[in-house]
Amino acid sequence: MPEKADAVIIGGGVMGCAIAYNLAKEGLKPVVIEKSDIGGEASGSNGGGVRQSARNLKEMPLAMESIQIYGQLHQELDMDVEYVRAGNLRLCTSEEELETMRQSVENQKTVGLELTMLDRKQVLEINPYIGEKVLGGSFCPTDGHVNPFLVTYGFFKKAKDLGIRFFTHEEVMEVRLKKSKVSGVVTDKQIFETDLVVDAAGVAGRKVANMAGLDLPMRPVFSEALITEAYPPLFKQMVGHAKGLFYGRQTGHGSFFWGGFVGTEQFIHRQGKPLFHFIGPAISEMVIDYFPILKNLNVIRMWSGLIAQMSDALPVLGFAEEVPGFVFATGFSGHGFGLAPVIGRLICELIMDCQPSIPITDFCYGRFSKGGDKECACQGNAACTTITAVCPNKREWLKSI
Amino acid sequence: MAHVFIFAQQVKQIIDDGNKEIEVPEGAILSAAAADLIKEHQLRIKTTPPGAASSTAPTQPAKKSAGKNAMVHRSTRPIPTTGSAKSAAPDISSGQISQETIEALANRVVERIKQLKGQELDEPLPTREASTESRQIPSDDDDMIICRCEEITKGAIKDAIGNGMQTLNGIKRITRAGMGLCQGQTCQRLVSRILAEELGLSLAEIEPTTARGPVRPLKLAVLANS
Repeated sequence: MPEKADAVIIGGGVMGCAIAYNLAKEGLKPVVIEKSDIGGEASGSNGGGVRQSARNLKEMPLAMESIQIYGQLHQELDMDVEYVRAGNLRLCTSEEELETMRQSVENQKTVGLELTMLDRKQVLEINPYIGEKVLGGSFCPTDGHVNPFLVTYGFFKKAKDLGIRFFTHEEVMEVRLKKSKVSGVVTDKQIFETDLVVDAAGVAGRKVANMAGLDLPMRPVFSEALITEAYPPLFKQMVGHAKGLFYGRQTGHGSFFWGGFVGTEQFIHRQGKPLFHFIGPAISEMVIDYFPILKNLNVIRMWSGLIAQMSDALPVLGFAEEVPGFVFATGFSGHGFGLAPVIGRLICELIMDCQPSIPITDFCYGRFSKGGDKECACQGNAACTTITAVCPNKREWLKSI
Repeated sequence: MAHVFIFAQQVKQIIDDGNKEIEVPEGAILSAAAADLIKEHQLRIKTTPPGAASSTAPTQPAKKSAGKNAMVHRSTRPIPTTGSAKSAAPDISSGQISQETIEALANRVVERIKQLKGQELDEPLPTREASTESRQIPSDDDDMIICRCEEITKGAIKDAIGNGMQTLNGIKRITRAGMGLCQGQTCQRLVSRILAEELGLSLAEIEPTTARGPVRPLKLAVLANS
């Protein structure tokens, strides 16, 4: 007989685990189905940034609340998640970048974010290791970073302690509908009877949506990262390029993490994760430019991950009107990890009484079908994956490099 | 009380026999095709009270009677059948499908589905629900260092496996075993063995970690120029 579950959460990444944990606290008994290991995809390969700066204004309330939750997450999860709230420094190397940055700082101050524009001298006071090229930047003191593996694992362990069952190495094959309502989930090993499905599958979120007859304007984007050997503590902030070309931090372990994007023009879609030999060198070159002190540090590993990039770089959250019982929590477009604790809470509130404490209507699925926000919100950076023909900002940016 | 059905086949039988009259027990249901046939051949419909003795009417197609068992009925049925092979099929020409026939048919369908699926339907399928039960058994050598770069003990690795990690990559993320300077070149085989032992798999079934460069530690300055 098919097993009954209060809800089936598809995806055992940080989102799935956080949602499961929050639902478990409310007394529900969802099951979580994960294709690989817990945190095996993006949750296990991201940079662990927890930032508010340079976010879309629509996401700002979520990000601000998330910072609050991260502040006491070690108590809630009973483990050290290496959360460091020491700010986020976004560095500019040209007048043009400074000007764009000034505008975006002013813009983000309007929603009450503590964010300041710094000149080179002020940047040096915060981080004395920057290279000569850096002219200035923005600084948000309440941003920070965290160990992504430990956060995911912490949510997973807590949910498990509350009796939630996780089925790893099991793949969802079908979302069953009855009279266009969710009625069950079929995996490659068993069948679950449920009237609630949460699509927290990250980069596979579109595939899961397709199983229920829905579609998302989402595509996978490739991102590369590298890690160095351990080094005595230099700085605690998260640092990055003004346009997000690269970003990094020193981990609690002492190693330096550096990640970077490539434009879609260089992205060749293949099965699995493609390997680009030139991204690692490109990131290294930038790191040396911005932090010359690190040039003799050894790189010990490079890896890559896939980003679930939405056409408007905003996540999809909430119920799908077309299919009652289908809940979206996917498409975080490469900046979801910092939101994970608040998303877990909000999706739980949505499921329990349809009233999330922070409105998430801006992220509804309906925004695509009703022809809403289709304008590309990027400022012309490498992370934007909107087709070049559609995004004027990106065209300009490509000309400039 | 089961309904009495009259199907086109029975009507056809009556027409073939040359009868111009059809007896229909009260409350019987005519199939659409049967009704069409009756209309077409202008048969007279004679309604009989339910339970009326049918032995007096040899052409009566549908017998209500006390028949609970259609199989018995068929053997004593007065209407000549066109072929003996028909007797193997579920009897519909008697005009009545009993509860038993329906049940027998349903059972056959279920049996067939079971055959096709190759397993019992009502037994849960076997699954690798490893992540919900901790299966760690403490042993003396749990303090032994397995990953020398990061000083990760065998106990910590067994702990991670007990908590549901089933791949080298998963163990690595949680424990840091294999994340150090040598990138698992020393400990990967050992961790594989622990994983195989704990999960009861053979070493060949353990997937290696994702192989990525650099093979040896490489200075940022060198990598930047490559």
